[in-house]
Amino acid sequence: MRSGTLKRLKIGRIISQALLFGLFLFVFLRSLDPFSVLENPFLRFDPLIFLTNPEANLPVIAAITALLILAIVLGRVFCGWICPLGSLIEALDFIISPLRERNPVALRSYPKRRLLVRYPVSLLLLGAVLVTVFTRVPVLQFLHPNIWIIRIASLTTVGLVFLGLLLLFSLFARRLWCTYLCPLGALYGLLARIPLFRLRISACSSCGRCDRCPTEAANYEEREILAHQCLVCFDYESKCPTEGFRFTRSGAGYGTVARPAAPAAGDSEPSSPSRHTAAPSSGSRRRFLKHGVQLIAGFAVGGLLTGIGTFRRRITSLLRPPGVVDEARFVENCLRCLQCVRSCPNQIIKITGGGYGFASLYTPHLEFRPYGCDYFCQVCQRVCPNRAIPLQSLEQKQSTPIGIARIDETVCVVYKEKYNCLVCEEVCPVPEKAIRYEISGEKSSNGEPLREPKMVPEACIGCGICEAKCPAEPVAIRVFAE
Amino acid sequence: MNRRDFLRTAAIASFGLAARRLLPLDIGSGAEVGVVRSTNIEAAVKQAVELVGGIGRYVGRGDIVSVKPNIAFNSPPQFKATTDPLVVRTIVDLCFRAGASKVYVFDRTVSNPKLSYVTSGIERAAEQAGAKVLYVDDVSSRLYKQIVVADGVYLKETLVNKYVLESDVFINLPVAKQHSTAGLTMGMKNLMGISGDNRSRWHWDIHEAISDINMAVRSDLTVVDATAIMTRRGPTGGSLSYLEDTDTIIASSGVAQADAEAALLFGKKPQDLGYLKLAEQKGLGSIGSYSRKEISL
Repeated sequence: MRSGTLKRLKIGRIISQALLFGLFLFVFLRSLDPFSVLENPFLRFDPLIFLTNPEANLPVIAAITALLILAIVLGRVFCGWICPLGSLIEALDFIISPLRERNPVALRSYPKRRLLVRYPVSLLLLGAVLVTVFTRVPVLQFLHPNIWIIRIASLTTVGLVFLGLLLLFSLFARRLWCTYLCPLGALYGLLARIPLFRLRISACSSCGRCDRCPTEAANYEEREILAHQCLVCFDYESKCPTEGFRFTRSGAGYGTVARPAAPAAGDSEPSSPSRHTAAPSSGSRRRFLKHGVQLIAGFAVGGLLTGIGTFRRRITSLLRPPGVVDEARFVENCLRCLQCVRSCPNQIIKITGGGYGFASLYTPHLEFRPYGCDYFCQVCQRVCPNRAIPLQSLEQKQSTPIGIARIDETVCVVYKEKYNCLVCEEVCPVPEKAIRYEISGEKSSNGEPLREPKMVPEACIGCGICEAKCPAEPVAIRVFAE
Repeated sequence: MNRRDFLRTAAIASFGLAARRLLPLDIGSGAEVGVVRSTNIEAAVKQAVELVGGIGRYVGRGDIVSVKPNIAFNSPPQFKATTDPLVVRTIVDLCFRAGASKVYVFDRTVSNPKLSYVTSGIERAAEQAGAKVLYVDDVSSRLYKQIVVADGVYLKETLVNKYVLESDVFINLPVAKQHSTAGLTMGMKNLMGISGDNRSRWHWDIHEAISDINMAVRSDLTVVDATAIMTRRGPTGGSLSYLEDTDTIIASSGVAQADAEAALLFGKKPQDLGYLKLAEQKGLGSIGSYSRKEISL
């Protein structure tokens, strides 16, 4: 392929990355304004995330199929042209690459990287993810690039730690995460092995310029491009003096060239058929077997994690975002992307740390101060990428209990101090009021008939506004999970 | 603005200020309370203000005005838990027509401020009329100032919104609703929203607290939105069945008199409301006898 075409493809890829990263930022910023929240397409339309809660996400199946077909037809285009985390890694590389040049232990040359090329952990992780996504143990939640980018954008501590880790990785190889760790990349890589349109080396002058491929996909020594690692980024292809890269359709597996070709001059394209070999090399067959073993080992790891995860599972008494009715199911489905935590206008959704078991780690729970869960607000339901927090109608949301409030009469100032307080009754947003009062027959501190607050449990939706506004200390009305 | 314009404006402004100082406020033919019955909210507000002397009696050229509607809850306007946005817009508009230089609109909400301001429709209405909408949920010294409540019974000192204290005119724009602790919430109780205190605690002695804050901070003009009053399950409501269409706008130079008039719409005697009785005792004027004008449009 001509250098000019390749250059244009590279520019196109960079523009695509910039635009789509811009889209990601735009959607993310909109998610912070309760009146203009948008669903995040990068999480909503994702094959692995889809598997976490398929029955609630059937409408997105067309978009996901399109992404999978894209990978089969053109390879890891998602990773090179779309993935916001990938684009972030690329952008940060402007800062990191000079440091990497000076890093004596960087994985600069092929032999050093060989270990990782032979045993890409990503396939092992993909195997573990594919098993655990069906056995419903949270593993994907800690490995998915699009979930991490939300945690980074939300400026959460875990997100920033992960960003630091990515920067550290970049000190060793430019796209270390994408090439060797990312399970989503591994999934697209698996599909990319189905050979439709692929970039191949059809002529070579042994100059070695392609040995700077950011993902080690151009295997210079064997004159082949590893389709499962190639991000179709066209980063260096235009520098090839022989214009030896071709984007071709072939059923022949990895195209290889046995002997170096002379540099081509002018317009003449060095594309004589004698330089092609149609049969897959024995190297690729060996690799295929090795990678198969990796994936199967991943399945085993997934099984092991399932055992541990199931063993450690326990139901907590945490209050969950509105609409969640099945705690066990929610803990399984929740991506722990923390988008709801970031988007809640009342900032009552908090991150669950340790202390509630591994299963609940980084899941959202509610702490009602200072506003409680607003009666007319559905922001968390609308931003949840995989509907782990179900998207309900407003009427459903207003009648689905989060928990149930209970008055502690030993603390409540009406019972204790005879104050006619009733703030809880006042702020209860349920039209029929889940807190009402009864005239007790006693006199209040200011000489009026004393009005005692009483719960109407069947009307209570556990929104916690009463708890948020209770002026007693300690708080005399609290919401408990049922 | 060039120099000549500036001098002319300054001259007019100082003359206006001097005139306001020299002439007694009730120079006009305004009654203490004006009641207008109409389904046309905008016309009713204008007419009610006219009945109590016209906007020019309250707002002078160059004045800075604070307008305090009830935006307590995140609730759509049809439920009448918040002041009708049209009432807010009309009042802001009147202020600017009277020559106000700035109009601020705000409330310290119970629900999330952003949600409440937008859902109630008040943010949009106020901004359309040219007012500046303020979020005052952050109780900091930038926004609030501690004042001493002279002769306060429950409140000795309280934090009050600086915009209220520092503006020339304070306009109180409540909506009339049932409220179990206070009995009814109208103009006097609306002043809870200018305080930076833990006002939930005010409920522990609510009548003293409400009358104290109204003694400390006087509403220059009170316009009660009683177009539909919430008779039950207030102050949040949330059902149209709790509303009674009364199609009334009440304006008054005295907040206690405005409330007394609004209480009658609920079929309540003003004397039966603790804070109104205290208001009369503390010196906010009679709640039983006051000059009033009523018209139907």
